[in-house]
Amino acid sequence: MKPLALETPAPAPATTTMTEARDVALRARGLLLEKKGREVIVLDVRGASSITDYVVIASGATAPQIKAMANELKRGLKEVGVQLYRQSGQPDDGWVVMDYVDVVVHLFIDEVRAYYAIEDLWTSLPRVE
Amino acid sequence: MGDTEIQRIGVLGGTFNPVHAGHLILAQDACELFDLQRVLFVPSAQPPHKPCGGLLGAEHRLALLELAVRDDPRFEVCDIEIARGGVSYTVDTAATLRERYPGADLCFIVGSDSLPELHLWRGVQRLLTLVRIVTLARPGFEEEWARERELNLPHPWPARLLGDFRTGHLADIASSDIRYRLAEGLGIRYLVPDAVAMYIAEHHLYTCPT
Repeated sequence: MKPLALETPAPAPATTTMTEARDVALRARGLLLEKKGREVIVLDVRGASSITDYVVIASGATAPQIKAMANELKRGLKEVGVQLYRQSGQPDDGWVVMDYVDVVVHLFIDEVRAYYAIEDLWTSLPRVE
Repeated sequence: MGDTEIQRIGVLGGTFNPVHAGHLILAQDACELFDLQRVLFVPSAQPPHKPCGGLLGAEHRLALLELAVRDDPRFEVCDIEIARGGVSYTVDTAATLRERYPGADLCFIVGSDSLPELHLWRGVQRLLTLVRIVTLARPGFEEEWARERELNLPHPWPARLLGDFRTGHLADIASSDIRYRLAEGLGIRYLVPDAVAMYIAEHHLYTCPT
């Protein structure tokens, strides 16, 4: 799709600054812990991933619980002006991805998390405490 | 229990001057490759200057689009740019559609030849955060070519855009070729749906050379 007129290019700002992305990841962790999220980890994937800077992984016992975690995340981040970019997956399927561009959050039902073991992809990377 | 599946809606913009089989094949490929439930065809508004044989009037372009998609339940025509008028900026359309389809995953379909110019689009940074941009290869501008280009956008957008790049049927049909053939009195059968060819003939469209 082409616009009918072009502007002079200006340097495009990043979506969020690095500090902001880290803050978003930490806030996400807080929100998930409030909804009894289990084994909530925050990984610094800068340099290792070309599509995002921080990955947050958490699990819940049941589909309704991860649905509640997803909704709380949406609410709590929207409150501070951070809009969800994309959401994929259904709670019933046990894996929901909440994509905030510089931060990607993976919500799993416990058994599904163990099955896919995505944190094993990043064993050498630092966890944000 | 269980939410309704998130609707993935493709948005295909352009002048559609006229719509042709290549557009329809592209839209169908996008449905298959990006798992879209629907595609909105959004013709751009008419620019204030209009030479003979140039951009056909909005009324005809819309009518041709309606004829082209009428038998396909996945496809529909959206006139928001025509209704808005003026210069059609994608970012404005994205903002409006985002309001209109709040729960949906909007996927703006872009041709691969546009990717290296994306950073020049008005409001591109906002556009990237509003909707998902999905790219389909155009003949001559295929994946290898695209991967070699500097996309001039901040991290993480280049990786994300290239991650959403697919190759479909690469149908080499162009509106300019259709307009040329009509001006020369050549047939356009199979290049456009029959109903579109009939409408063009009945209304004597595109008879001036472009």
